[in-house]
Amino acid sequence: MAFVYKDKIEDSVVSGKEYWNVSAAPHGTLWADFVRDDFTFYKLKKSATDFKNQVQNCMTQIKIPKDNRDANMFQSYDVKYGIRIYTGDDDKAPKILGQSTDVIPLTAPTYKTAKFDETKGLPEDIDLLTTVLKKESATVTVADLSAFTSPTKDAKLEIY
Amino acid sequence: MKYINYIAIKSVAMADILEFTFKTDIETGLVAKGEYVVAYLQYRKTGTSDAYQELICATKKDDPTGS
Repeated sequence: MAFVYKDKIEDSVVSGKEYWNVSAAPHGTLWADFVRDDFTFYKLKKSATDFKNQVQNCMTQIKIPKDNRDANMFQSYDVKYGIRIYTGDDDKAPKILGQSTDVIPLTAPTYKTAKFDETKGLPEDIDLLTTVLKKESATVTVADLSAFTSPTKDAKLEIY
Repeated sequence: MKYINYIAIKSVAMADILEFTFKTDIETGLVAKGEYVVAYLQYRKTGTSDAYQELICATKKDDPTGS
């Protein structure tokens, strides 16, 4: 799998950016396979959690080539997930909003053939088969937001 | 579109896609304009003691074009 980052944090999609994890060595070069370019999607949204909260979306994709694919990649993964707040590109000590753990199954896809009417062309959905792997949701309580000044409301991270 | 998705593309010439969408719900005043909201997901194969790899997705607050 590739690492992924958002391109505007880094000047160049090619060169990537090093991120620092607290108490850990710098990560390697990161790059995005795809970054969703959608003003409306990234614009802050109202929160259903509390009127003092706002929602920030982010979406990324990892390409998994069919050539030379490692069949062993399709198995379960232990995951840790959470949120960090960086003040800027050079921030090496981000604020951390808790961390949750879970297991995500990554099952091998099945590519089914299908008959179609050549006079009508390919149906729009014939080339794609989307499998839902997991929905994750974690709440970070005010007590766990001690890195921030005077937090009053819980935060939440959803992977959806 | 919801959840983590595996998108299998039938064409042998095209890569499949593993898609992650993150939604961070946080008190407005805790994140200043121009700061990065970074969702991360660290992963390793279950049953191993390998180092975790990390996937991140970052968005600049109040700057949708800087995401």
